[in-house]
Amino acid sequence: MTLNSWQDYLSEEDRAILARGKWGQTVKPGVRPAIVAIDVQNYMVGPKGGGDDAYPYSCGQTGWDAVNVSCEIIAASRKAGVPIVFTRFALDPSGNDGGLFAQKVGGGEGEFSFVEGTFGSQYVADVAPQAGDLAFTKKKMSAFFGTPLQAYLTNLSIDTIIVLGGSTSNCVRATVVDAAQFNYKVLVPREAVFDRLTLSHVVSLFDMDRSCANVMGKEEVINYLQGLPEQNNK
Amino acid sequence: MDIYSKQGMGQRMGFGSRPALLIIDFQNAFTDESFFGGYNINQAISYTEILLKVSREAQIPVAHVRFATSNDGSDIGPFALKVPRLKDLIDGDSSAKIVDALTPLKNEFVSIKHHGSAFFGTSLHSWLTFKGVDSLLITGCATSGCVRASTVDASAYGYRPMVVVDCVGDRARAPHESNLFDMGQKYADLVSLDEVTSYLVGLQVGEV
Repeated sequence: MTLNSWQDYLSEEDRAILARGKWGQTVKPGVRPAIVAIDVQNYMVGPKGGGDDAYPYSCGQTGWDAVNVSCEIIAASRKAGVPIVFTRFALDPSGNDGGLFAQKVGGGEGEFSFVEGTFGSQYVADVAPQAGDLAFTKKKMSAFFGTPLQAYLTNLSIDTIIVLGGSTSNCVRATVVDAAQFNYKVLVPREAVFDRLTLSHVVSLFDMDRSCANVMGKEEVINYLQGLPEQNNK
Repeated sequence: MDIYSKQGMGQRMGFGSRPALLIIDFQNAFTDESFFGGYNINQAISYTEILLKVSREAQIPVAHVRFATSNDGSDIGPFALKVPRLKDLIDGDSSAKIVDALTPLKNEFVSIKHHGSAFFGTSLHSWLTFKGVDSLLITGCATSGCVRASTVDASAYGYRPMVVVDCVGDRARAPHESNLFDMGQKYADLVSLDEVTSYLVGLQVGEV
């Protein structure tokens, strides 16, 4: 997706409305970031070489493209001593914790969905937690909802969150909204988040940039990581 | 209480480097024994006046959270079934106001809450994140109620809770003492006003 692909969807009147409200200003990032890599699991991207017919929720090659960019960003983060948090979405095979999501979408079936214990629910090998990383399973969309993420971030004195993963319109967006509501500065590298629908992806990036995050190119994010002062992690 | 030390409880965390002062429910209703006051609450308010002055001089963030109903009391939920007089703590009434001696300044966080913890249903956590806070100097009342609830939540949210023992109070002695004990064993360091004052005077408050 090109740098400002949402522009393609905006009319002149839309642009005038945005200008009038001064939407989408750029927030200066802080000096203590953390990476939050959201739901980079096999069910989200399918097999590496392609052929994801058996994966009902796969984002396919779009997902893999974002996985590759995520790897770059994670590497730069490790070098800078920036903490990395991984989330995964997994529902219990009993169906007890599916809730509303199961009613809207489904409880997940088979080996290639998000059901706990399946291959689909596992982290993609290329973007998986290493020793010393933080990782947890969530049952809802936002990485904050019902998880210890806030406590981790407070404990590490984090002031900025860089969000990777998928899907842009669901779990990434929910996390970004929550993060902004907790007053974290949020950076979204547009090439490192992915969705199964172009429309959802582009509009979500647009909406996030409009009111709660800096949607940026990956180079800018990597430059930011490389330019950080020394990160003293307790 | 041998079993506590045997199990290694009550370790000291030590002060953090970016504290905020939290004042909980020091409202007019809590100065009056015929409403919600009693035992050592008024004394705790006097000591908190001192701590507030020192905190403002040290330029640390200050947060004031108070309890009030914003409607007919149904926003309090089952808490009002246990304590029906909570419905008389009405936002806008003088009894629900923060005591004059602790009047908030414009740059300080001020919020109403509808339950015990200063965090529950408020944006306190967001403001503390924005201010880069890592620890909380906790004052207020009642020790056994809203102070304890706030202290437990503070710990859960990743902040070091430092309960200033001279600055928290309850309507009765036994719950005050037993809750100080509980908090000191599991969630907070219990510190004196003197200790906190020395700490704040020595603090280099950095840029936020």
